[in-house]
Amino acid sequence: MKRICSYFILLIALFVLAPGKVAAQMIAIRTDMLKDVLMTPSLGVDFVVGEKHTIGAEVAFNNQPWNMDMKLVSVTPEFRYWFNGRPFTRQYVGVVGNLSVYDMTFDHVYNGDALGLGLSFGHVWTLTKRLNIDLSAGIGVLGYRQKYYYKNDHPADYGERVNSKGHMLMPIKLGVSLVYVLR
Amino acid sequence: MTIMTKRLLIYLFPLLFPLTLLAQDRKCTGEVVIPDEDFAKYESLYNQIRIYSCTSVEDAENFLKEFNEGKRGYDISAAYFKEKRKLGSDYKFEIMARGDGGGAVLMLCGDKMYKSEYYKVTKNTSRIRFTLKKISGGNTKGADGYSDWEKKGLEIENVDVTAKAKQGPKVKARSLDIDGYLQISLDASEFPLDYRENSRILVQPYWLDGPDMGDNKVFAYAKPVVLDMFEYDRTQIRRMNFDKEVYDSLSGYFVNDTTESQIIARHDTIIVTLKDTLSGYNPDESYPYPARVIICADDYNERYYIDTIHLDEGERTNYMRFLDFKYDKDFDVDIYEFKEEQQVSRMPSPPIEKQLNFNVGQATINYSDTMNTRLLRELEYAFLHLCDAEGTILKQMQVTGFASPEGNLESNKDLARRRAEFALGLVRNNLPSRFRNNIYPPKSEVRGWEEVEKMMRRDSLYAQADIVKNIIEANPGDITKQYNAIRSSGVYELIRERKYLDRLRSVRFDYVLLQDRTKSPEEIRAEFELGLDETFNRAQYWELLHGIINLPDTVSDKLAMLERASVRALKNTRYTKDDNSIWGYKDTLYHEGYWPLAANIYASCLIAREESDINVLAPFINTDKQGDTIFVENLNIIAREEVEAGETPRIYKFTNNESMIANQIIMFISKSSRKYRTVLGDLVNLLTQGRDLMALPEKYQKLIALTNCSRGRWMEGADCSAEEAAQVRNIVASISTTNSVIINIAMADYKQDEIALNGALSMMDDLPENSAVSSYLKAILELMRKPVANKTKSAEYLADAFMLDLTKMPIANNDAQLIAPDQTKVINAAFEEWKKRTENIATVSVMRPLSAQDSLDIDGFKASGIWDESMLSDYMINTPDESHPYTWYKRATKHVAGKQSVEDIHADSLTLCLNKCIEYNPEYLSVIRVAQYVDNDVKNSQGRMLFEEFYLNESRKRK
Repeated sequence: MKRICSYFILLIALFVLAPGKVAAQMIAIRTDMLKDVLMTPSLGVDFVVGEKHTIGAEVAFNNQPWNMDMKLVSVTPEFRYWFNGRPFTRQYVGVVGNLSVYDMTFDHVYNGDALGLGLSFGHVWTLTKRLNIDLSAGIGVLGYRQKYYYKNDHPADYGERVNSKGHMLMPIKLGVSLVYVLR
Repeated sequence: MTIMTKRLLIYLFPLLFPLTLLAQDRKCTGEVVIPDEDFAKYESLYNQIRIYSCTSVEDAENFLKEFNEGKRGYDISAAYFKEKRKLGSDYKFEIMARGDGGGAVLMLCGDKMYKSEYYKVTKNTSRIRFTLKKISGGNTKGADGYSDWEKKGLEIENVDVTAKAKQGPKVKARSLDIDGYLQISLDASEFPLDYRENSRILVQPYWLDGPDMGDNKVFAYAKPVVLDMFEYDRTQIRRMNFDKEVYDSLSGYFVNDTTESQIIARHDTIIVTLKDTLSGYNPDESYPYPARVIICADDYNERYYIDTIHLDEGERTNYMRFLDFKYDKDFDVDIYEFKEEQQVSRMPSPPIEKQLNFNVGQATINYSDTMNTRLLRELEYAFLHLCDAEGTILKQMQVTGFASPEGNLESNKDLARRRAEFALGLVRNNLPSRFRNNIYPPKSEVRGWEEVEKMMRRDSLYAQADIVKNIIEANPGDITKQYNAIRSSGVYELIRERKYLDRLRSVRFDYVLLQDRTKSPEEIRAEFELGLDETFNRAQYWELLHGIINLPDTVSDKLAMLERASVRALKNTRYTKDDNSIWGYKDTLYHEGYWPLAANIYASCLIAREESDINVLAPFINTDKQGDTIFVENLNIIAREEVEAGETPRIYKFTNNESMIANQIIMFISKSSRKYRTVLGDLVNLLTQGRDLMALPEKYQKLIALTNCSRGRWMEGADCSAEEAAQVRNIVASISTTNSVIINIAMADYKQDEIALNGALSMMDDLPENSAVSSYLKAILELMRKPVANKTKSAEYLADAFMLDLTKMPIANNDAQLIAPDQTKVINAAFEEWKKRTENIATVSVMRPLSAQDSLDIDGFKASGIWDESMLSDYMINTPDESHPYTWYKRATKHVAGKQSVEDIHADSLTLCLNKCIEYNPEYLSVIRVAQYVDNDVKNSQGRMLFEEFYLNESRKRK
């Protein structure tokens, strides 16, 4: 888990610091403050790829937030279309994906991964020349494959690794992000 | 985490990296090709360049075709991407590519459209960067009907090369200063603009040259102001790589305060000081500079607001406005330098009619008569000497003897025959024997009394000639009866006294004598006056021009004759490339084209008549010296250069003769137009050849000094040193007192030179009397007095000027030099003074009413007390004299009275009335001009603009 997170952070750094053709692009990094409150730090990066388009991804993870028995790593790539002609400003819609790996224990144990795709929308307020506030939400279809059993059960009793699959229509994104425009 | 998931994560993100790279900006580059002679225009089209991106070459060609046919305006359909651009410092611009496949870019500069080469768009291409590329000689059409740059634009190429960066556009230095400022407030209560957070507000003030009639050019731009609202500013900073001041094309114009009530531009009433001027009266000079401001607001996607607001009108200072353009006008080329020798050719000699004094009733002459003796010698010479000449051929000859009509007809005929035989006998012996067989039998003729009548009319004896004519008509065909009647009529004595009959007793030698000879000057002149000079060559025209030039100046139509001769010489002696020179080879440039001598003489004639035609001397003036052409002043010397057989003669081109350049300068000055300013500069440089003004021949000094003065070089500047400026001032001031005062006023005002001011004041009394210009200058000087300006005296002098020349009134209305130190305009007081004076005058010659009671009837003035204004108006309109200009003037004013919108005025009817007005009295044109100041009906309506427009058009036509 740690290795995967480190790997992603390294990749994000690569994008941010990469020279050459990437240097001409506007790049912004963001963190979802809502997730931060939930002790699930996140880090995202967005690139401007057109007059009205951006592409980005966000990584979030947690490990026993608020003393809950929970581990989560989530990657959320997103493609956005900005209505008013300038990226990182005002309203947008987008296509968002979600890839999550989780291991949570409440009354039941949920141990598996999920893959989702949906639509997102949001509004960005410009605070300063570098800072924005991004209010975003998304809804989509999330498909999951997990091991699902009562928390007091012994996992070995369940034999196969995955015993629960499915998909559902659900919110796959919700956030209040602080965005910092790097260049 | 499943293995699948791990693999997904491990491979997904790295893939995002190159995907992102691919998704990033792809720049493609292209070129827009333009002819080099158009390249220099871009700096003046700073804000008027429009870029159109077409998604296919066919689209671009169709668009261009429709544009050239006038079917498309500047607004384009949504199918095209449009953007207004200011070119960057390296003449590059970028567009966002659209569509798939490719396209072309059209760049509209002013009213000319240029095409780019085709660019290819892939799905990853987003920006195309274009560079402007010059092409030499680009505008010349080839055999296929296309110029180089047109063909270049039509080629389809996949371009990925960026042309060399070019020098950025420069704003030309103008010979003017603009002082003061205009205040523009964007307070929301005054100016209801929708201030969106994501908007940029642009404010561009400018001034027009002349009244705002919709087609006046922009005279000057003031510094624009750009206001970015909060969100726009922040996002713009991001787009400009966080350095908006460096990368934003409008940097330098930003204001930082973004509050709505900010006064974002301060430009108050301007005073435009012109350092240059034009000779002669230019109606445009009397107009103010209307100030306008364009305000527009853009958000991220569109321009959602644009408007033009009218502001104040600026006053004008034009120091050199009344400059006295007196210079020597005798810039003639030396005619002998252009002398061409006539070629001898075989041509017939003119016939000879000689009057030998025969004794009355006899066929012999009195040999002691000196006239006879002289004539006999001439005959001897004519036939013996000429016929003897080598190459002379006498084809045929016949002698006709004439008798006068008095007496018996038959005996007169016989007498005439005997006289012819006598005369023939005189010359027969002098003829070479080879010609004697070519002599026809002599003829005889009795002159009629019609000849006598003609001679009497030539001598202005009309009454007597009429008597003779009546007698002839009463006795048609019968000479004897006519004679008898005339003898008894009383005019016979006069006829004898005047020796009319003696003149009829003559012999005529008709012959065809072919000689190898040249035409004599008299022959040439005679043929010219008969209009038979179309076949003349340059040598013959030279004789003609030389003869006319040497006529005494007292000959009344000498100038007209010279002009006629030079024009015809110019037209009839133009050589083309196929003409052979007498040296046996085709030197295409020496003889090609128009004859310089004729051109210069014609130009001199035009100048003497105060006319101007800049095309006459243009072929002989070349400011571009080309390497393989030698420019010469004296063509004849060069033309006589011998060339060895087989050698290619050097190309000589006659051009840049100093006198001709001087004449051309005068022509351009006479044009009185600012658009020729650059050409004048080139011509002056060509004439001076870098020499100091004082090093020039004296005859050119005045001309060059005046020209340079009119170009603003009376004051040191970027292109004129202090010493040069001083030389110009000294020479111009020495020409006349008026010029001296003008120069001193300019120095006193512009440079605060007290000595110059005192000098001007001391010369006030020496200014010409009864001159509107003198009074005007005195008015200015009174305001410049120290320590206190004398406004009252100034107003009086100005009123004097108006009395002498009404056209000074609109000039004074906008003249910043007539603003007193306390900012009051002297013209108001002058105008009141002028009104008082004209009320006291019994008649105003220009506007005499029909009434027997002479009084002023211009609206705005008090009536004389006898005629009430409305009565007069009604009288004139209801019982009009259709041929009186005032009738039509009043009708015109009634058309515009009270109308606050131009659309409410019937312009055609108004124009008809004004045309009629000046048709019946052309002097009414100046009244029409001042109507907007003196006539309430005009002054207080929008019709004043139409009056002004009419005046402008008419005065330009007359110019």
